[in-house]
Amino acid sequence: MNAMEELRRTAAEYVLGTLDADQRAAVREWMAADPDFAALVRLWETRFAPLHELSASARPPAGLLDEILAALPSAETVAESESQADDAIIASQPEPGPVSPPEAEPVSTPEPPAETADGQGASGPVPVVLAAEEKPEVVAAEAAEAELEVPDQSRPESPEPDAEVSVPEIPVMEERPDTIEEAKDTPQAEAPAVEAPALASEAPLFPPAPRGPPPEPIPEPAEPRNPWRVLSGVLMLAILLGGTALVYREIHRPIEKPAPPPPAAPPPAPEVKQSNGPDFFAVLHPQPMDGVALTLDPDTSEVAVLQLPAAAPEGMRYNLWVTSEALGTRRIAMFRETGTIRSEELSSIGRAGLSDAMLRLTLEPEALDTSEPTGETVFSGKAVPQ
Amino acid sequence: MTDPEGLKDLLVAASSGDRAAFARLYGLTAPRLHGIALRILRQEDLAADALRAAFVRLWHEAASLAGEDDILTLMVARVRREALDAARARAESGLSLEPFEVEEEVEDPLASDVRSPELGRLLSCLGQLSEERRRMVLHAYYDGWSKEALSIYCDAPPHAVNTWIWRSIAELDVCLGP
Repeated sequence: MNAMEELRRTAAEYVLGTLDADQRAAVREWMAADPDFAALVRLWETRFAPLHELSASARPPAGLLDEILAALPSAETVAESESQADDAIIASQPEPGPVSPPEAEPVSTPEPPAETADGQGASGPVPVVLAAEEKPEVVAAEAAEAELEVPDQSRPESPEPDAEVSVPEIPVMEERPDTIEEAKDTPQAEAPAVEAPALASEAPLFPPAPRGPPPEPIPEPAEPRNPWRVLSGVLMLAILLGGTALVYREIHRPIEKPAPPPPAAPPPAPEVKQSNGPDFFAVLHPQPMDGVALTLDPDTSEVAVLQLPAAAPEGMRYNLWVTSEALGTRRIAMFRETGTIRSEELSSIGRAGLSDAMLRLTLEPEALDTSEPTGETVFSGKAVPQ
Repeated sequence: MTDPEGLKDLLVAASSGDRAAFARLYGLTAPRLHGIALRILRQEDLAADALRAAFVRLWHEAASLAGEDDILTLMVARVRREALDAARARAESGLSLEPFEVEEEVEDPLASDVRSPELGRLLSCLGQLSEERRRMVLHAYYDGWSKEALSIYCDAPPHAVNTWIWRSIAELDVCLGP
C-alpha cells in the first residue's frame, strides 16, 4: 500500500477516534517528531470539525470555569510556567522512549531508495481476496437514515431528484437544529438485528483496504520531503494498522510448536525482486508483559523496535531469534530498548527466510554472546509481510 | 471560516494573559464543547475533566495558536482529543450504545440556523458512503466508539470493521480533495 496514503488514513483514524490507547499515544509521538504528519492530522481535524455544528450542547458544571482559571498560572509567571507545561505534556506521554523519530535517530544507515522516498514505489502485497463490494441492502432503517439527512447515492430508488450529491443544497441545511438532534439520536435501536446477516456475510477477510482511485499528492507540506521520514512513516504504520489485524489472527496461535517436517520446496516469495518492497512487520505474542512491535527490513538490514513494554533490566539485553525449518534458530539482533538496529544477519536471512518464520525474544545476560537462546522466551510471534 | 463570535480576538487577548477574554471564550464555547465531550464519555465528571484539560492546554498554547483562523476547530479537536483519550483509557467499561440525550436544554451561544459550506461539503461526501459505513463513521466521530464497539454495533468481526473504516476514509479523502 502506498506509504503516503497510509499516513493520511492513519491521521484520519486518529481524528475519527477509532485507534486504541496505545495507538493514540504512538500517533502523538509521531506528530511531535514529524511536522508533516502533524499537518495531516490537522487536515483531518479541519475536515471533520464542521460536524460539531450538529452536536447537541450540554450545560457544563457550574464551577468549571473557576476551576480552569484557578489552574492557570498566575500572570507574572506565565512565561516560566509555559515551558513547564510543555515539559509536563511531554512527560505525561506514556512512552517517552524513542520510537524511531526521524530526526532523533542516530543511525548511520544508508538512505532509503529514492523510489521509496516519494512513496510511489512502495508497492505492498495486493490482497487477492477482496471483499465483495458493499451494497446496503437494508432500506428498512429509514429512521437511521435521518441520522444525518445526507443525500445517498447508494439508494438509487431515492425519489428526490435534488438528492444529487454534487449539489451543495442538501436537506439538512434547512432543518432546525433540534430536529436534527432528535433524528440523530434515534437510530441505534433498530439497526443491528436486521442487518447483521448481510454484514457478516460480506465481511472481508483481510484488512488492507483495496485502494480506491490513485493517490493524490499531499497538499499540506510544501517543503521537500525527507525520504527517511516517509520510510519511517511506513514502519510506524505497521504498528498502527498491521498491529490490530495481526493480533487478532495471531493471538490464538500456539506459541511454540515443534517444527513440522520440511516441505518439498519453500514457496517463493513474490516480492523478493523489489528492492523497495514491503517491510516485515511482527507483533510478538504477549507473554508476561504487553506486546512488542517491530519491523524488519532485509533490504536495509534494519530492525526497528517500535514498542517495548520495558527496557531490558540492568546487565541484560533482549535477543531476537528467528526459527524456521530452513534456517534453524538464528539470532537477528540484540537490544536493550526501542530504536533501530543494524542486522547483517537479517539481510542474509532475507525475505524468504522471514516469511514463514517464528520470531521470539529472550532475555540474555549482556556478557553472554550466545548462538542459541538460553533465557526464557518472553515474547514470540510471526513476521508477516506488510 | 467565519468567526462571528470573535473567538480569534479572544484567543489573541488570552495569549497575552487576558483572563477575562479567556473566560469569555469559555462562555461562548463551553456548552458546545461540553456536549461533544459528554456524548463521547457519557459521564458528567469525566466530560468536565476533558473540558478542563482542554482549556488549560489551550491557555498554554494560546500564543502559538493566535495566528490560526479557525479557533473553534482547534478547540473542538482539543476537546475531542481529551475525551477520546479518557474514553480509551477506561476501555470497554465505558461502552455505551445508548442514544445520547441531553437532560437539560442549554443555551448555546454558537447556535445558528446557518450551516457552514464546509459542513455541506462534508455531508455530501458522507452521503456517498454506503449507509452502514456512514453510520460507522458518524458513531465513531460523535460517540467515540472504538472498533470493538463498532464491531458489536454492526455485529461484524473487528477486521471487517477495520476494512470498512479504511475504505470510508479513503473515499472521504478522495471526495474532500486536497
